[in-house]
Amino acid sequence: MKNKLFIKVFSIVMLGMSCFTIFSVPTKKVLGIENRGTTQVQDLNLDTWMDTSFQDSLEKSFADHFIYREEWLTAYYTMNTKLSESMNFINPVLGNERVKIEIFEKINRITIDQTRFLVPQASPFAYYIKMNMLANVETINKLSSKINVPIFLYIIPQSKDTSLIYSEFNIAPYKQFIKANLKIPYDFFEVYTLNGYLKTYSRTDHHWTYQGAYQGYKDIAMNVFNEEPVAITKNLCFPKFEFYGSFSRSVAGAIKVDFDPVCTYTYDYQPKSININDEFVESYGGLKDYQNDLDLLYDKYLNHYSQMFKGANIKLEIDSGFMDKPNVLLLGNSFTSPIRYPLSYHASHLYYYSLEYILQAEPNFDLLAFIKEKEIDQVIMVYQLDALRQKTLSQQIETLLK
Amino acid sequence: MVFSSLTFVFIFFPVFFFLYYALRDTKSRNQLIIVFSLLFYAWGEPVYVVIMIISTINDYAFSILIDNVRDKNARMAKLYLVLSIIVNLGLLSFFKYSDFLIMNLNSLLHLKITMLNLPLPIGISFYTFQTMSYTLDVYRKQVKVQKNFNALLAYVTLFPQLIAGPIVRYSTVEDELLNRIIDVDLVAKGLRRFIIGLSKKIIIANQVAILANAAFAMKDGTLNWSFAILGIIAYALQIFYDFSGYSDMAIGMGHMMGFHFLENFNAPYRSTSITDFWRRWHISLGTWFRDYLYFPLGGSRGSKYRTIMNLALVWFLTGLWHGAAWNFIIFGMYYFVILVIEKSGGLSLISKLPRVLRHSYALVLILVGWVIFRSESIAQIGSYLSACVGLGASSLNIIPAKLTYTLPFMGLGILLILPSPKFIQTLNRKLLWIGDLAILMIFLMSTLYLVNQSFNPFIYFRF
Repeated sequence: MKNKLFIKVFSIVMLGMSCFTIFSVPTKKVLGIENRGTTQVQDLNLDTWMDTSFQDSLEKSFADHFIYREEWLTAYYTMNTKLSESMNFINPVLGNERVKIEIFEKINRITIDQTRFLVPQASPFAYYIKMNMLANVETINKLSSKINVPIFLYIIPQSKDTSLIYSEFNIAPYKQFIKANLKIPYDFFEVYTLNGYLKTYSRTDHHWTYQGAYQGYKDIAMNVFNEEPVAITKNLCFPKFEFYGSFSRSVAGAIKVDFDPVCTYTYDYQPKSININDEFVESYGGLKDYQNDLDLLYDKYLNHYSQMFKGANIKLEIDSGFMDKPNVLLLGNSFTSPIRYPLSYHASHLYYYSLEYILQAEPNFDLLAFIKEKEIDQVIMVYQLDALRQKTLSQQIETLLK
Repeated sequence: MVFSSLTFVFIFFPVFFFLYYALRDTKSRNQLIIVFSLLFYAWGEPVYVVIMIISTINDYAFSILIDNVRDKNARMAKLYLVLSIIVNLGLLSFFKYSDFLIMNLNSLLHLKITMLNLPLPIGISFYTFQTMSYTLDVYRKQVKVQKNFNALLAYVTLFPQLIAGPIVRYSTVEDELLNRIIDVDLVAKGLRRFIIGLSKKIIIANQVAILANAAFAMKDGTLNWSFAILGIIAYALQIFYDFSGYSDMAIGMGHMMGFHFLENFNAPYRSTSITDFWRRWHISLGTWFRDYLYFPLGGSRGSKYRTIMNLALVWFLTGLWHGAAWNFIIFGMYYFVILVIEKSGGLSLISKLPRVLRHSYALVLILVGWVIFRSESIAQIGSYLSACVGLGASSLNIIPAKLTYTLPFMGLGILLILPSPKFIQTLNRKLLWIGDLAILMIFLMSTLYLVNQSFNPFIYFRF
C-alpha cells in the first residue's frame, strides 16, 4: 500500500471512530451489558482538574460511549473463549466447563456461581462458615431480645445451595443449624424442592424470579400475618427488555444462554402513599396508571430483576391506608425488592431499610428509637442463605445496635 | 495520560496531529508541542507539572551562564554546571529517594523519622536525565546553547518521550528543534511504528502481564516449578513488549513530527552474553551512563581496580535509577558481578561455546535478573528462584486453568522475538500492502483490547 493511501485509510478509520463516539455522547445513558449508567463528565473547574476527577470522568465517559462498545466487548470475550478452549489440553485434569468458568472469573475479576452450570456439588458446610453463621444467628437473637418486638426471619437458599439432584441433602445441615441456634420464628424458601427450579430461580442470575418471589411473599403472609396473599391482577412482561443476569453479563455475551423474561405481577391493591429515601412519590398512584405504558412503568418502577422501586440500598415507606393493620419494619437486601409492595398490603405502614443503606447514608440511625417512634409491631428480616454464611450481616447488625 | 488509552488514541492523537499539520512553520509547531505536551503531562500530574518547568528553567538558565563564562572562567563554568546538577539531582532524589533513605536510616539507627510519602512525579527519572545531558553537553561544547526558551521547553516536554523515554539527548534533536522536514514517507513510517508499538503494549504486554502478576502474587510455598518458570518468562516478555512498545510509539510519533529519535532496543533477547544484552536493552540509558558517568570516571583506561570501581558505581546507580528499593540495587549489582566476570575473561570462554549455548547462558541470567527486578522483597527473590528449581509446591496443573488463555500471547511474544525467516522479509518488501493491511488489522485488534480495559460491570453479588 502506498504511503499516502495508508495514511488516508488509517485517518478515516481513526477519525470515523472518534467522531461517531463523540456524537453519540449525549444519547447513551445506560450500558445494559454492564448493568450501570454511563459515566457523567464532571464540571471542569480548578478543583476537579487538580484532583483529576474531571480527567478521569472524561476518559471513562469517552470509553463508555465508544462506538459499538458492546460489540467490541462481545468480540473480546468470544475471542478469549475460543483461545481458552484451544488451550485446554494444557491442564487435562480439569473439565472443559470448569476451565471455561475459571477463565471468565479471571477476566472479569468476579466469582461466578458455578454450580448452576456444572455438575451439582454439595456445598461444604465448613468450620469457618459455621462460625460466621453462629455469629449471625446470635446477633439476630440479641437484636430480638433488645428491641422487644417480634422478629421473623425468612431465609432464601439460592440456586447454588440447591442442586437439582441433592437439594435436600445440601440444605439439611443449614436447616439443622438454624433450628438448633436461632431463637426467633423463621422459615425457609422451599419452592426449589417442588420441581420449580427454573421458575423460581433465574437461569442467568442469582436472584429469585418474580414467580419465586411471589411464593416467598405468600409464605411470609401466611407465617407472619396469617392472611391470604393479595390477589394478582396481571402478569406483565416486557419483551423489549433483555435480561442480562449476573452470569450472562459477566461473560459479556461470549456464552449464549436462554434469557429469562422480564416480568412482574401487578396486584389488586393501591397504597395511599410511597416514600423512597424520604421523597414522596407523588405520581405513583399505583401501577395502574402505567399499565398502558409499559416503557414508562419499566423506567419508573422496575429494573430487570423485577425489583420494585429500582435499587436495593434504599429506605422505603409504604402507607397502605389500612390503619388497623400492624406497622412493619422490613430489613433485607435486593431479594426483598419484588416483595415489598405486596407485603405492604398486610401492614398499616411498611418501612423497608437495607442495612447497607443505613450504614452508608444514616450512620447515626437509632434502631430502638425508630421502633419506638414508628410504633413498629413486627420486624421481618429477609436474607438469602449466603448472607447468613458471611460475616457482614452480624457486623452490620452489631453496628446498628451500638 | 497514557498512550494506551482510548482518550489518547482517539482524541489527543488525532487532534494534535490535525493541528500540527495545519501549521506550517516550525516555531508555531513547537508552540503547539509545548501546549499539548503540558496538557498531556498535567492531565495526570496537574501539580507536578511545575517541577518539570522548574527543571527546564534551571537548565536553561545555567546553560546560558555556562556558555557566557566557559571560555573566560572555567572554574565558574564548572560551578554553574555543579549547581545545575545539584538542582536536577536534588529534585530527583527528594521525590524519588527520600523515603527510601529515611526508611533505611530508621532501620539502621533506630530512628523514628516520619516518611514523607511523596508521590513520584511521572517521568522525573527520564526528563531529569535529558535536561542534565543538555547542560553537560553545553559545558563540553558538544551542543550550542539554546537561547530560545520555547525550543528548549519543547525538547524537554516533547510528549512522545516525556514519561517513559527513550532518553532523547539534546544533541539528537538539536537541529530538528528549529528546522525539521516532514514528508509523507516519514509520517507513514511513524504511523506504522506507532501502531506496532501500541499493539505490543496492549495485545502482548498486557496479556502476558496477567500470567506474570499471578505467578509473582503466589504466596511462599504455593508456587510450583512450571508456573514459576512460565511466570518469569511471561514477565520477561511483559517488560520487553511494554517498554519497547512504548519506545516504538515514541519513536513513531517522533517521526510523524519530523524528529529522528535513536533506537532504544535492538532485539535484546537474541543476545549471546550479558555484555551483548546491555548493548541491546534500554540503549538510551546504557549510553547515558557510559557517556556521562563511566567515561568521565576514566572508564576502563585506568587500573583494573579502578575499572571495577567505576563499573560498580555505574551499576549501583543503574540499579537505583530503576527504583528506590533494595531489589533494584541488587539487580544493578548482579549485573555488575556478571559483567566483571565477562570482562575478566569470561566472555572469551563463552564465545567458544556453540551459539545455542551462548543464547541459553544469556537468557538464563537475564531471567534470573528479572526475578530480582520484579520481586517485592529479598525474601521473595529467594523463594521464587527456589520454586523455579523445583523447591516450591507440587501441583498437577502446569498453570492455573483460568490463565491458559494467556498462553497464545506468550507464544506470539516468543515468536516475534525470533528472527523472521527470509521469505517473510522478502514477501513483506515485495507486497507492502499485505503488511499495511496487517497493521490496520492490528490497530483494530488493539482497539478491541483498549475498549475491554474500560469494561467495568457493576458487581452486585453481595446483595
